[in-house]
Amino acid sequence: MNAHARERLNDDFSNPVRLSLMGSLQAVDEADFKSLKEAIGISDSVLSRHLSALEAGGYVQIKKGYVGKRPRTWAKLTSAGQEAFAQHVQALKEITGLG
Amino acid sequence: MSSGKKMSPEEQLAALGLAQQGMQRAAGYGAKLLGTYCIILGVLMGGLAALLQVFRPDADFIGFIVIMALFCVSVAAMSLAYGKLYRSLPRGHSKMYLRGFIASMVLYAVAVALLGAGPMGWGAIALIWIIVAAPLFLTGIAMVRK
Repeated sequence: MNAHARERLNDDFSNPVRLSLMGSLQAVDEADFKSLKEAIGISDSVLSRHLSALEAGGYVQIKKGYVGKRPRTWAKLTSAGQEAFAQHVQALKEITGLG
Repeated sequence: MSSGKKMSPEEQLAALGLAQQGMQRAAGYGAKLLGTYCIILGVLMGGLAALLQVFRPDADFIGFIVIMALFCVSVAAMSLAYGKLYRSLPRGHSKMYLRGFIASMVLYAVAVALLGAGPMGWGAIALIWIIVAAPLFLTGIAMVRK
């Protein structure tokens, strides 16, 4: 059972920042760059790099727009991202005996 | 994707819990604020729907116009507030709000249509207030309590 769960772990989420990003985005419909940065406590450049990587993997959708004249960036989980992350979390719970 | 530092499953679950707590704290504030606005708008919309039966267009046209204008202003204010807050709401709260908002709007329209049925008693007017206010009011209560 544990061997199966370990195989279902997704390496893309084993990085602490990406795991935190996916977990944060799972809690909301979407989040702006600033809220994510404050919730996770990382710098702009680190957040930007990891968000881009998650977007490239198809887990996160990034939208750019304006609020007034200020440029803003928003991120949300794609349905594939939601599914992949839910499987990852379930596998983690099974491995640690919580699932 | 490069993965960088890897964590054990236990560490991953602990880090996940911390990250979600931080986000939920921020989103919880937005939910409470929007929930409070929903309660206020629900009571206001119900009250205006009830007042329509008192200030009927055939009896007091100016009163009727004032009530309709107040309704438009309150809906516009609520839409602006939602526009500012919807990106910082917990998952599912946007849909919850829209369902309550649309239901109260539809019921308000029904209250306007009931003007054609003639004057009503105070009991029926109070009932209109409660029914029109209920969807947004209950949505607001649910958001604030969550």
